[in-house]
Amino acid sequence: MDTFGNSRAQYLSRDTEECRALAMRASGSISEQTSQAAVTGGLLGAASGAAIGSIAGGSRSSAGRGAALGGVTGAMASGARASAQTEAEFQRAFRNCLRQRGHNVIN
Amino acid sequence: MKQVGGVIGIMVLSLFASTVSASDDDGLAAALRGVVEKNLAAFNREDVQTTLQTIDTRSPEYSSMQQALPEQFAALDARTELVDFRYVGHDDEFAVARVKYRTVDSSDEQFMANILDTMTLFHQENGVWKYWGNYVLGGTIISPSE
Repeated sequence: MDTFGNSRAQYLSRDTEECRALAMRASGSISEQTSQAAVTGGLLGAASGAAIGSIAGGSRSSAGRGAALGGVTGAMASGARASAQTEAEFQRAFRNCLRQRGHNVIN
Repeated sequence: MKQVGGVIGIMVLSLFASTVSASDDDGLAAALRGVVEKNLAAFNREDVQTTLQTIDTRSPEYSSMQQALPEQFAALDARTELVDFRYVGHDDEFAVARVKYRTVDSSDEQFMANILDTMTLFHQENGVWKYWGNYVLGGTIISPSE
C-alpha cells in the first residue's frame, strides 16, 4: 500500500478492516467456510466462540479484545479464512475493494 | 459345582461393578454438562463473576478469562448455545468431554457466527467440577440463521 498523495489515506485503517471482512464474504459462501485449525490454549467455554466470531469477522470488538485472546483465536481465524477460500481469491477481492475505495495497492 | 458357583459369582460381581462404573460415569457426565450449561447461561447474561466461577482458578487460562470477559461483554452481544456434549472419560484427576458450541451476535453484522468443536478438560476445585482447558478441534463459520 502506498499512501503517498492519497487523499483518502486517513481512511486506510478503516477501509482495510472493512475490505477484509467484505473479501471474506465475497470469496466464498459463509456456510462453506470451515476451519480445521487445531490449536490449544486461549479462552474457555462460551468465550472461545465469541472470540473466534469477532476476530474472523474483524468485527467492532477487535479493538477491545486485548492480548488475552491470544494465539488460539488468531490461529483459529487464520484457519477459518484459509480453509474457507483460496488465499488468491481472498487477496483479489481484498485488493479490488481497497482500489475501489481510492487506495493505491501496489501488489 | 463349586467352580460353576464361582464363575457365576464373578460374573455377578463384574456386572455389578460395570453397572456401578456406568452409573458413576453417568453422574460425572451430567455434572460436567452442568458446568458447561452454567458457563453458557452466565456468559449469555454477561455475568463475569458467575462465568469465572465455572473455571478452575488454577487453570492456566484463568487470568486470560478474567481479562477477556469484560472486554467481550463490552464489545459484543454474543449468544452461545450448546450444540453437542459427549462425555469421553476421566482419570483420577481430570475429566474430558467433547463439546460443541454455536455462537452468534445478531447485533454485529461483521461477527462471524460459528460452531466451535472442542475437546474440553475439566478439573475439580474444592469438590466442584470446573473448566480447566480447551483443545480446539475445529470450527465452522455458519450463517447466523443456521
